[in-house]
Amino acid sequence: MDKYEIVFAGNGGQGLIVAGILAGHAATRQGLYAAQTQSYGISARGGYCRAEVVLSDNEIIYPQTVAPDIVIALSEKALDRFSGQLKDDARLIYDSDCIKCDCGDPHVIGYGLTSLTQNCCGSLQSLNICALGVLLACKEIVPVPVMQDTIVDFFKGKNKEKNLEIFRKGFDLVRHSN
Amino acid sequence: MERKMVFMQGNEAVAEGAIYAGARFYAGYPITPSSEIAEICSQRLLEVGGIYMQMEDELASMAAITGASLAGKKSLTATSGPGFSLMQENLGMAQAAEVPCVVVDVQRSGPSTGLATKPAQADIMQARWGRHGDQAIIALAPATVQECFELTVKAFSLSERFRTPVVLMPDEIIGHLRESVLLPAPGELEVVERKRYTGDPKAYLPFKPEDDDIAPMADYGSRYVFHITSSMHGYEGYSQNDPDNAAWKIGHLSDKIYNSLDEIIETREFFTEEMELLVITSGSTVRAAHEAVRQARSGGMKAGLLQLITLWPFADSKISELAAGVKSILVPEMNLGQMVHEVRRIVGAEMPVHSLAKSSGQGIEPQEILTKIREVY
Repeated sequence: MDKYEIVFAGNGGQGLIVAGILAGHAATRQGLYAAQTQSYGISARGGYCRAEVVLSDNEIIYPQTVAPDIVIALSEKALDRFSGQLKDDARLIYDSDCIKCDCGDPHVIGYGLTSLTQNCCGSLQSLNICALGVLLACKEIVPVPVMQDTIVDFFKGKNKEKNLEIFRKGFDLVRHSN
Repeated sequence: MERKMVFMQGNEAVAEGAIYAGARFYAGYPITPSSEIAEICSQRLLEVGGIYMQMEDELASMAAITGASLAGKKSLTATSGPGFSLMQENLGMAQAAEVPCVVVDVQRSGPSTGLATKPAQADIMQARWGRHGDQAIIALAPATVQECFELTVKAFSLSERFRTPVVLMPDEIIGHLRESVLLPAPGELEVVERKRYTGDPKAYLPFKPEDDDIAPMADYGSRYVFHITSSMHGYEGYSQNDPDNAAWKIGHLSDKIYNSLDEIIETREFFTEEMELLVITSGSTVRAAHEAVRQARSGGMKAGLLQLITLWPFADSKISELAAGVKSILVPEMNLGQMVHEVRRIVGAEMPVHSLAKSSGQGIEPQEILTKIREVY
């Protein structure tokens, strides 16, 4: 992997930075170089928030994303920020349960992430891990078992199982619709 | 045992670096974007037999680490601009009383409380001149998570060696950046301990320098009883108004640092062979400048980069040496222009020194530096 740039964008409190951290941990575990940065406001919840991850086989010079290969947008504002701004082969995935998009661009694809997470977990706490499953289905930045091991190591108690389940459901949602 | 890369945050690396360096006392008042250092120290220091104290404010934090150091423990605090302002008075006290300690200022956008979560490099001059009176400070700026660890160790070593506070100043981007790092094994990095007095307690002069410019220390609470004051003092530590002593002491506080620049100043060069344009910067801006210079070279422009790892004392000699071979200099920095004036002071009016100053709470991107390089090349 020469260089691969990922953005998780949405609202503060959705766990976007945790999703970025997990991607970075998994990549490092796999022997890749990873850099993760973020941008957020002063509120603990709400407001535009973004986590960026850069992965590479080589040492990373500039740690922030310049031209993302994939953006996962979990709020309308996040979609607006990146819609029409991406390079030709980049993919923009959005949560179609809460964002409307009729842009007709084949690289912009919506999936019902909120309903999937709510039905699976009974809350939206794990929406970020659902997004991580979606990411891996779009681009296997590391083998799936490596990401699953990373999730198991990161979370405690019953959250391990819950997150593994929603990760797999997010992954399958994308894989089965292709 | 083969060591593996770990994925770690800059602030986490600062906390771990402090423990590696032997720090066993932290006092602080958490503030974004430095809070992770306090959070991690509150757990990790206890695991290694250290002490974590949550203070009522930054004045108390600075006072507490000064006291802990005098009692013999390597100590640190971490803050950001608003807290760093509040620490200046007691930081000056630690300088005057020659107390080793490390102050971490994770720089955020100001002025005042400013943009709490956004980056800046606008405390560069505050670190140097925030205290009144003649004094000198050592300040270091990491550009990677690896450097967050290594420069924290170096900050402690310099503070112990020169018996002075040292400021470590990552910007928010570096403090919050997570990346893959290979942590040094125990013993791999040099860890310096302060010189301690072991002679007759009655003969102890806590402020009389030896041949290396530094007076040996004794621990408060030990059999060595001595006096510390922020006011002008002589060898024995008691207040003294004698002008000859004052002239010596004021000079000494700077001389002990400026006479040992080779031990203190660290820089790093990228693409500086056969160079026509020199970019000089520090902290996270190094990462953007490195990428910009790399692209400029690919485009046939002979650009190079000097990273200032030691911010203070300023790397005058290295800048003069590299400037001698170039046609112009560019200084990108996340403030309205602070470092650029130091560079101009060193290279003189003949050399074109261009400023790329950005003060919006955003980092400088490689493209912005590349565009400026093309403009001034």
